Amino acid sequence: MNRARQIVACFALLMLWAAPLRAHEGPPFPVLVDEPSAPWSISVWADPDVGLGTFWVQLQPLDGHALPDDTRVSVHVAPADGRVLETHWDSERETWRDGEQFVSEVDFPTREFWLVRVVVESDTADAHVEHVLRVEVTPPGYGAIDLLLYLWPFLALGALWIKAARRHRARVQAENARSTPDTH
Amino acid sequence: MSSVASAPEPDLLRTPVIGALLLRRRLWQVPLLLLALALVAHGLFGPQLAPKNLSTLLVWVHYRGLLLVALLCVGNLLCMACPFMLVRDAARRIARPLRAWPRALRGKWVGIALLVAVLFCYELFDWWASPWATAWLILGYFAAAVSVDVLFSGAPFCKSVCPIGQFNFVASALSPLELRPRDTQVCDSCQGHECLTGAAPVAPQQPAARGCELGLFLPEKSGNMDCTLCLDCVRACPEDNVMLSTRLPGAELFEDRSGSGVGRRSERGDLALLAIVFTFGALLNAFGMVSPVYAVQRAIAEQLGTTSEFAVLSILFVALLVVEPVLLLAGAAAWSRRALPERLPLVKVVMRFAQGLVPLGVGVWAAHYGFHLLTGLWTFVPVAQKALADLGFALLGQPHWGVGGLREAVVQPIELGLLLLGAAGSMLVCWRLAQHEAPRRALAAFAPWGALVVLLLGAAIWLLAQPMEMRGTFLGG
Repeated sequence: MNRARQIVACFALLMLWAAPLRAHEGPPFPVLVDEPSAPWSISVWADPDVGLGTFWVQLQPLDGHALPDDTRVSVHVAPADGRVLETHWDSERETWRDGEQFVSEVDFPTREFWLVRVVVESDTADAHVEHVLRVEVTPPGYGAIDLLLYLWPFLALGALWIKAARRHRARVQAENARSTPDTH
Repeated sequence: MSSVASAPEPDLLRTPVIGALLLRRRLWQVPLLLLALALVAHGLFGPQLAPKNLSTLLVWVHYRGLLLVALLCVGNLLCMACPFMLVRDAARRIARPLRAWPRALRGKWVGIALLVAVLFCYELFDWWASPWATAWLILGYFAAAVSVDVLFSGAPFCKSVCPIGQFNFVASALSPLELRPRDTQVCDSCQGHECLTGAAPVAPQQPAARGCELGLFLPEKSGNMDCTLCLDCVRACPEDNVMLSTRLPGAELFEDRSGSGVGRRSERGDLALLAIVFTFGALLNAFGMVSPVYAVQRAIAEQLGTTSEFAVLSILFVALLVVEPVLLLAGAAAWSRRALPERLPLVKVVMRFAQGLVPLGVGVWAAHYGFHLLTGLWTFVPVAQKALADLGFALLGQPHWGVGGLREAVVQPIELGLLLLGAAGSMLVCWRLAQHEAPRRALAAFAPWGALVVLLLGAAIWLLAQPMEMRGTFLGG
């Protein structure tokens, strides 16, 4: 088998091994964007990793007034197949650069689709808003396998670089030797 | 420079399709100009939340990462495609520059000052979080490029002013490609030097071909410093004797040849300072977005009893971009000097070894910007969909907010790989410089610089292992 075929075979093997793209992987992503739910516009960002999942809920009052102090956000999660009862998680209110948001940390024990019910309440605003979202919970990573899989191309590139530098040096030395006449 | 070797060297300009694409600069500049205008419009009039705005997303997440990918895989492609130069060329048709760039401002001093200013303002004004500020930054860049180059002849903006350009010039030392003569014997017999001076039009209707505006005479050019890859030399050469060919990445950092328009790197204080700012600036920029920086800022603020972010940031910048480099470089130079055959001032020793830090600097920048690019790779898709839908063109469908990028567990080994590669490159360059400066005691001359590289590598690994803000791609970032 020639080298080109070997490279193609390795590439094909890697492609077979690669996880399907449909599952969300990566940094937090928005699952609800600027959804008008009187008296607020709601955005929800999610980072649903197996183990610890995190949800950020941002509220923009539609009337432009400040968010009431008694605004509460809770997140309720259950597997989408309904085999287990819903669990409830409170959130913490925090300020950030562009306003305020509510952060909930949720325990996701398994990789599968989950139903996430976000509840926003305020007695002052006399409001109770709910949104049910379906998210796929994915593993945060494969640990040492990730390290090996993604680091080896750089190690190979480093070895190639060192080899090229040695050849470059040998060539320069040969050129210098040719251009310097022997005086003896 | 050697003549053509027996085995033909690859020439990207003669590669089908790729060569034709590279030689049509407008084909790259016009789309980038349109994109820049779209970013300005969206930055000024679109949603003012960074992860939902194309200006912040594409400038601070995608552009910076792709810039380094292009530099490391090909070369200075984004200078070649620079849209500022398209507008500048149009402005020069109306007002031709008559003055020469002042001698006092030549070199990289202005560019270095602006590079530091950009790093400082980026932190002070949270540019990554402000679409409005990002749009004005793009407009300011256009205004600066046009103003400088309409007043002064040549390309002083690219050569001496543009902070992105200076960044690219330093990093392009590690590019695998370089423009050089196809056959030096053809250059030896050349009388016109068109690659530098330009060529008259072949036919009356044709425009004259411009020579290198950055003052690089191709047969004497050494490395990629000051080369914007505009390919004016290729178009001007009547003998079609210019090729874009492969070379050893980083070789120009230790060969220290005297090159046209640049001179010897080891004798130019501005190039040494640029390499130092580039490397320590990479660490500082990464430090600015990990959680320990907030603790440090709070401690400084409490000590000073101030709430001024300007004052706290100034102290941080002076500490990490002046005090730290001076102490580390002076220490390494003093140690290394003992092995050198002649007793040089410390500054001269630093100037001779400063280029050795460049590969590590490139590694840190690539790891940092690579993190943003890869974790936010597809985030522009829903934002572009939303922007078009807001304009009434739902051509791309409803925003698909679920797409993001690679998970951090994947990106972290890539970051580590880039850092290790950068450190290996720095070791190689420092070793070769030591062999050149102290042929009999190379190991002793190399040891302090090798130790410095290891120290900076450790700092970089620690920095990138910290929880990092997902600036521009995430609501709380």
